[in-house]
Amino acid sequence: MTAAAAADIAVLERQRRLSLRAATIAVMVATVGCPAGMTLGGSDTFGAIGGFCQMAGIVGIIAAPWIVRAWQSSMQRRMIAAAVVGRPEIHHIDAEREQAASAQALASDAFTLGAFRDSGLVESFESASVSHILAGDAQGVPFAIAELRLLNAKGYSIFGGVLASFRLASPRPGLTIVARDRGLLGNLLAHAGSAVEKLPLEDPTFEGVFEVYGTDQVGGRVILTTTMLERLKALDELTRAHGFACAFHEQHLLITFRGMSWQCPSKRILEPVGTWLDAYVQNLAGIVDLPVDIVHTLNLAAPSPVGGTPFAPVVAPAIAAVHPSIPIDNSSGQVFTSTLWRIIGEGGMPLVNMASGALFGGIALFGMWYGIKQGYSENLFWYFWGLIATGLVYGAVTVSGSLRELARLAWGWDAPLRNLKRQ
Amino acid sequence: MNIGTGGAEIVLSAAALAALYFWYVSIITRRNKVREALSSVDVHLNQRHDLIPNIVALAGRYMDHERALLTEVTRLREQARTTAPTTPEEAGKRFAIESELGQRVGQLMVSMEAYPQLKADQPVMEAQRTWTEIEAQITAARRFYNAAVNQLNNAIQVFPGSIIAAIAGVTPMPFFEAPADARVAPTVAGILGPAQ
Repeated sequence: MTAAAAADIAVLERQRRLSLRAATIAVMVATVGCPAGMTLGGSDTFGAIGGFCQMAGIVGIIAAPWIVRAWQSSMQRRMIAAAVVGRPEIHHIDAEREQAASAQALASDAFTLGAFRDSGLVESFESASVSHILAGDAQGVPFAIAELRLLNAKGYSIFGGVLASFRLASPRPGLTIVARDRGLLGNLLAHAGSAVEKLPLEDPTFEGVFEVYGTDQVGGRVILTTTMLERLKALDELTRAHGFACAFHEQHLLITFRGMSWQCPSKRILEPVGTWLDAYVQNLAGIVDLPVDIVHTLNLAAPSPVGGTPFAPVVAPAIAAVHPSIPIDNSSGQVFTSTLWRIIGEGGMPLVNMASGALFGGIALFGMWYGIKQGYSENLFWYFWGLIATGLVYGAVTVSGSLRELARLAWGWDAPLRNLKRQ
Repeated sequence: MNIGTGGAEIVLSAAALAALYFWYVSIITRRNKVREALSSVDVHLNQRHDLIPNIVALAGRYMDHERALLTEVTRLREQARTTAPTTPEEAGKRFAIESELGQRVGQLMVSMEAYPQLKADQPVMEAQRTWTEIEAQITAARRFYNAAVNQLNNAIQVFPGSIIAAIAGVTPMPFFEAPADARVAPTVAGILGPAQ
């Protein structure tokens, strides 16, 4: 049974139309309700009606994107379930409905969420919002692959995409990270102050796309043989649309696909299901096949890079390997998760504080200049100079504190390697 | 006006001195990296040296016709062990001996294929596996060393690095090249084919 056949197109189309109608009504209510609410008035009755219209408008503004997101989640759930039909080696876990199973899958032998943080692939995070997980066995290699968002301590999204983890037959020495190349300055900043050091390799084509870091110069090269470099380039070709980064960390190969989404795009709600469903199903089928493709392309089924008995790690790993449990929840209903929200959320308050500090500090400076030049009358002397001193202190403290907050945000922004501190 | 010109001269001189100092620091850092890489190569080569007597002893039980090769391997091993490289010349000499030693042991391994008793012998199989692993690690260490040497040589052979290096007494280091029989062009099937 094919995935397309498994889903009843007519049912999906009806669902799409209903969702589109509901979202359109919500938008119309918002468009009409808010202005109407502001114009109506003059008596208690009209005032009450105006208030009601305004409330309805606000509800419409909030409801419209939620309806679209709910439709996207529903489509995604159905189509992933359809894509794994006939694939007994792959188990689909809907994180929204199977929370215990998803928590178990993300703390298993094949997949440990904390390992991604400890391997410098993603920024430091405190919790995860998981949508869907595919777990199973690809040519004898246990794996799990999850679509999720990672959230920092303040609850902002620091990573959105797909994480994949493969349990290797034997441990690899040290920690070796294959990150995307960021240009000369970007690469220098990316690992400034980090426990890992750059591993220069001989392949200019590879070095043009990737940048390799590690804790063990020799161990890293034992893993990244010239053959493995070719394999990684082949994997990059395979996943061209979703540039990957990966790390060999102890007994796992960890891969991140930043920005990869299994959802159907929201604009699809405007088009009949029949016109795009096949493409979406094929895209999901490619994702379901991705673990097997990765195992095959990187030759992970082999017991060790040189065959024979497994490698013993040459040196002890320089990075702590303790992965405390990480709280997870489902993310299917979340709407405001983009990078922009994080910038507004984390950078907005320091900017407001800085503006306030600059305003009051500036007024205090002007007052000081005026006082020095013209002087204040004797009876208001202490009053003015007291205010000026307070304004200057407030301005200095607020501006410097805000600058420190912004600098901290900028320093930690998309710089996961800096999480790796020397022990 | 004069003070301004003098100030500019001082600033320019300070900038030039700072640049030269940072160049010097970079050369010394790279030289130390080469030393680190060289010691890493040394560790893995010593592992190989430790394994060779076992291989020779195991092979000697059956390979009477290969006495000359076994003797040559033993001689090269002793020669390699007594050469601890500290200068570029010593390193070059050591690498040449190691390359020859690797080649000879490779020949020995190929010759062992002709002896069915040896091929089936458990300790021999174990030794061959260990040899393969050590060779993989030597290859990795060699790549580390060569990358470090490349960076050092580039830094000290380009002006004004050449002058700073001459003052600091830093000289170019030789590359540790793979044995001639290891230079076989990889095939696409070998690279992307199934598990080896």
